[in-house]
Amino acid sequence: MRLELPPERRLPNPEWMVERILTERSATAGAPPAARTWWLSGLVAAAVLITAAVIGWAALVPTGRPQVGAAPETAAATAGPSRLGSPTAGPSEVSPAPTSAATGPEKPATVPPTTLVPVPTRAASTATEPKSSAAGPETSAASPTPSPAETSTEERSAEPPLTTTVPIGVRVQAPYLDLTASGTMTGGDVYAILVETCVRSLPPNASSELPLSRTSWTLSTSAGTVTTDAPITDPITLPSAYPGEGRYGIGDCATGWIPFAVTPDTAVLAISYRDSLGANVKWNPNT
Amino acid sequence: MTALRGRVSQVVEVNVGTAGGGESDAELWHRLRSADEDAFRDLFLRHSTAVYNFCFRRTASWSVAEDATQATFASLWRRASGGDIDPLKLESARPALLTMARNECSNANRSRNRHLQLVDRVRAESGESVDNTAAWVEAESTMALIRQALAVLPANQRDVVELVAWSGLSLADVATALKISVGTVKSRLSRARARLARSELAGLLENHNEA
Repeated sequence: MRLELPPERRLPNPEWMVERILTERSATAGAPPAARTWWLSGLVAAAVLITAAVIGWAALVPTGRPQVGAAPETAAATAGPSRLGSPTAGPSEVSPAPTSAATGPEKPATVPPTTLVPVPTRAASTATEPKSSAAGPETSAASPTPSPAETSTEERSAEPPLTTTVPIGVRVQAPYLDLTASGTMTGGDVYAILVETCVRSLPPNASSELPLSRTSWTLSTSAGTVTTDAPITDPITLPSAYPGEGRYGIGDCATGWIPFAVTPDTAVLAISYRDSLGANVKWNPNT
Repeated sequence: MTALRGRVSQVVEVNVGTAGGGESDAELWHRLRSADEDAFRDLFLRHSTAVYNFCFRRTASWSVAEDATQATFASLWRRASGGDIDPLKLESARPALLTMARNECSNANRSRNRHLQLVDRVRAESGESVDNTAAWVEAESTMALIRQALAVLPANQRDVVELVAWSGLSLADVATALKISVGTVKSRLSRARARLARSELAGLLENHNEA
């Protein structure tokens, strides 16, 4: 009897498997691989030294600064109306909290986290930080806020930004931004996504507003990456379009639908947001 | 006017043979070394089925092959994330991936519930009849017989048979992947053929890609 090799089979659910690999790796990104251990150790050591130095300095040099949580000492944060240049974003209902912005340079609390934090909620983002109007006089001399699409941040340019993949509908805290992809529509050669980008804080050298662009959003498909540049031939009607470009202050949001040109047989594997400020987030639209 | 409809839940079938077909493996591999997710996806969609079938032929189990395929690519992505991937020495990434898969197949954990998992996965696949389970099990039985017959060969000759005769790699690619000379690949293959010339496996040692 002569044996024959059994016929080949296709791998079941390849899209599911590849996303699972990427998701599991992102979820364990907090556990550093061996190659990164050395600089993480250095980072921890530096943080400990800085903390010790700050504590020592505070103990030696008495200051008249109020304690954290004390009554507001400045009227810089006024409850004025939100500045909105966005054609789609409605006025943010921001209740500015007292701020100590007058104390000088950006405080560590304004430095964004280096990790991306998924926030499991579909609720519209609520601004929890004060508008940056108080910082205006101090930062106005700085160079214009770098666009996320054109800036290179010194600290992050040395390595690729951390990536996270989450199910659609999950709100993610990226550096400076809160990002949400919450819906999809498809028809013909169009795949549209409903997204929201909210400015949570500003980079240290930024002015009071951050430019946002729809080009930061892309689709990862089985045929490759699809950008917003691809022309859409079929006329479509979207409930509300995401703005092409705009400048946004803290608490402001850009919201709306972004259409992409895709071929009908293309599988959309992920909705991606990426900018040079460190955000690199993917949503799985198939969850 | 194109009418849009909301939220598609149906997973679109992807053609794994041509997915991401625009870029060469070398280009994708280069991007993968910078932990590029899209490059990883494209490489996965391009080669995962080959790895899957290669693992099946080494393990005689679709379930273990699936696990080993996932382990192979998870290992690749882990190394990419850690900046620990060597440059691609060949035009195709397949020899390197199959070499990696060799180790993962050996390490694959054979679950006690493998058969049940197999049935579950068949049922879970849309459009596939449960009747296919019989074909799957038959394929596993046949492959187990082949493995049994192949066991008379030393491991290094089995490797060459699996990579050259069954996976269609060239002698040069196998030599590079296994870090041995082309002459050694040829001699192992010819010794394997001589050994199995009168066995039921004789027809399985034909090599269609001995360039």
